[in-house]
Amino acid sequence: MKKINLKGLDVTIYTKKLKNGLDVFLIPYENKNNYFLSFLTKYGSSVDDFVPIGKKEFLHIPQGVAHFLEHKMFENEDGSNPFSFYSESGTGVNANTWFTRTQYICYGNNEIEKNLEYLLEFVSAPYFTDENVKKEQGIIEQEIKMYDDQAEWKIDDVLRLGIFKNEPTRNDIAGTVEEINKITKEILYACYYTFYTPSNMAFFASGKMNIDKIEAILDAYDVKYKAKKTKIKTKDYKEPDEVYKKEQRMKMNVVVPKLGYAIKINNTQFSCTPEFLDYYLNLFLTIKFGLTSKFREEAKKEQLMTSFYAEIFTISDHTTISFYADSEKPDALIEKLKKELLKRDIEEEDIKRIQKVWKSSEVQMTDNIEITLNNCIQDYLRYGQIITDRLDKIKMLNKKDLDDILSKIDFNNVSYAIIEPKEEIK
Amino acid sequence: METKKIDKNTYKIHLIKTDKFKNIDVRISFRNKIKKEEITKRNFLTSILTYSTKKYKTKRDLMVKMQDLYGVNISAKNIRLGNSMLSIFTMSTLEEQYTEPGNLEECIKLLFEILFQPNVEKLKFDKESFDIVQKNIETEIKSFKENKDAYGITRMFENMDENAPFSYRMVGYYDDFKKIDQENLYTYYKEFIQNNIIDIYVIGNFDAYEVEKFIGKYFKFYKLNKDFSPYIKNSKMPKKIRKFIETDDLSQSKLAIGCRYKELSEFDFKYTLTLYNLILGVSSDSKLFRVVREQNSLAYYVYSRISKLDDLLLIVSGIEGKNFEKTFKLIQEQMEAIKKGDFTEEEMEKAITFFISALEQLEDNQYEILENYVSMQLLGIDDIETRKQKIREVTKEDIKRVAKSIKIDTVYLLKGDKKDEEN
Repeated sequence: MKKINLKGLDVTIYTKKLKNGLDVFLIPYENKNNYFLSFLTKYGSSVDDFVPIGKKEFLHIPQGVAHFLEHKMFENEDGSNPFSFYSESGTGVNANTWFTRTQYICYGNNEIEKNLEYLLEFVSAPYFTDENVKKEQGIIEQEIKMYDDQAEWKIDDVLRLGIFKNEPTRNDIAGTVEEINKITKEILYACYYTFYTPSNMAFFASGKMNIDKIEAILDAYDVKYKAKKTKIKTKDYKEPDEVYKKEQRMKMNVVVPKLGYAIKINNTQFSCTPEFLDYYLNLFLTIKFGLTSKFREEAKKEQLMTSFYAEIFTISDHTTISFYADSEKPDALIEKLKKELLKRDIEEEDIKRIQKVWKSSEVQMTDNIEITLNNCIQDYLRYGQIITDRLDKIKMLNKKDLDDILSKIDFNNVSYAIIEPKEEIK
Repeated sequence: METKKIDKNTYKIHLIKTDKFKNIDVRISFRNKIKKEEITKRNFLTSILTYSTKKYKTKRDLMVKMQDLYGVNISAKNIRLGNSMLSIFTMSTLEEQYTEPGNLEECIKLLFEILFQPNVEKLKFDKESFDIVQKNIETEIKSFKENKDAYGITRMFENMDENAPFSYRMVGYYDDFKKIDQENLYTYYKEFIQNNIIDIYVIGNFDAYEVEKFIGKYFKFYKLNKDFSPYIKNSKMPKKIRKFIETDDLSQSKLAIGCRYKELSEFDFKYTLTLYNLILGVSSDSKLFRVVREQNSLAYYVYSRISKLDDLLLIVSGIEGKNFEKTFKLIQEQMEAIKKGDFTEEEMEKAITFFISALEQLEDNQYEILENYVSMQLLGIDDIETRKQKIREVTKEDIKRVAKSIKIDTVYLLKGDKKDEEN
């Protein structure tokens, strides 16, 4: 195994690529009792059209299949299930689906080797029937409806429908009730055999472990599950750079209106690496809109908002900067945001202060095996590798490069959504 | 790990020394009996104290100071434990090996500055800070209804007993909110700072002598307040099940069931009840999860929770309104099954393993270690080793006996009446 060190952070990662193509990353901690395992496929809700393995034609699938598939992996042919297996050793098991990946996780402090073997096994053994698909439709219908009633989820869902025109990312990860009722076992198998092949997957572990024993289990998996010669073909959605809809307004059962405001950026236009693009956009958001920003102070004083946060999100060639707020005056807040986005008033000293905070936060995060594991997974999915010199790179951030990036962004390429209460606020 | 408790007569310092973490956390807890009419004021107060200080006049100034101290995090929250209310102020910073010498003292100083040097002029809280916090609190109270799960559970408790502390809305009340002004909030601050039982907890890798010295330097407290038990003992058992249905504009209906028990032996209260709850509805392998979700596809989530401080058992699920009676019946059947002893050795063994494993996992987490220590001090919970041993002594008969003493009191459904649900 290859050994890589996270510079300045006392974290060592052991990595290798199995013959069948599976990428492996192990992050051992000597002073912890617990472990955290993640087995993932680089397949999530952002694929609705692909050529199934062994076929020639594109297949269009309903929304929500990746998430549905995640649920169904918990069904075994012999009637046993992972929940029951893992509870024997007091181990937690779960799974979640994102736009670009689906992961199966288990965490605990007992029997890591046995639990790992089972994890590799159950994710590698699909068992779908008409009955068990039907059964899941009722459960997922309730999951969809649960989120449907939560305005803070809804605002993000609505906002994505305005930003993206063609990308399936515009749709809710879990799909709609109507769409999931179209899912069949045949569709699930087609997706499973196309996307759940070792060369499209990765395994991450952090916490207390014996590296050699873990490696031996992975080697046995390598022998059992051979590489398949396939190239996964998914549709290019030809997502335009322009936002799809500038404005959306809807009414919902809320008391305080919700605003979502997004800027859509083509991320292929910058000369810096994706990693630096992310640093700089985050730096911009932290200084201009974070807890020490003048904007936040003024907007609160003017009673334009109560809760407020911003984040960046990237899917293939597009990156979005999104703002979310609880606001009784969303239109006035939009005007203020627009003006603020164009003001170039960041000082070197602001950058210095944030560099200090970020460095501390990188150190702090290494104390937590779950956070460290998730950060590595994020690096892997977003940059195709683990970033080993983040502290050095944070030190390199400067005003000139930041200004250069900002000058290329069209801050008028905006889509916003407002959820208003059905009844007037009393 | 080493712990040391220092009794300063009017307050206590608890030092937990461990070198497993890079952070040092300092927590100050203010505790007294909960009063419904005090909740809103107290939320307002803790928010405004952490918003600005005499020296750092705005949130922005205060945050810049915190960032200068290597991103130290200082926050406050109010929680209810049984019949007590706690205001907890936490400071979390990296140890000096990763920052610079003197940083820890500066952080501790800032924490006490937030508490004892509020942004007050002429016996009034600063207007600008007051107005902003006021808006935040108002929004929080008004939007309480937006979190449908919490709202459904609270409505169930209010129907169960509106005078009991477990039904209090910790977000506060609008009528109380309207009465708060800059002046009476400061009057309340002066009471608050005097009339609570105070504990200071420090956890991490630090020099005990030095930390005690810093605390003594920045913190003086002279009033001795009388301690009390936070436990609420249930006195009334339900004669029959009471059902309440309210409607709301929702896609999913929220079900909440409140149960009571009383006069359990100490062992049953500490251990049998815990195991009962684990078998009934804690994990994804519990009876409720298997029957309601996996076998009948009625819900995405269903779980049970014990609130020992309130002598209550709570069961919660999100379902289709039309499936209310069916779901409720299935839940009742599972509770009946445990009474009759209809559970396997394997289910018991799994529940015990779950309990022990959770205790062992807690040792990796600084926050959990502190929470566990506080529970032992405040709630009289046994130490981890004792707990691991005692849980194994629970027998099947014990569980059947406890199951029989649990009675459903109130069933509440927040029924979604969105049109598309009725087909």
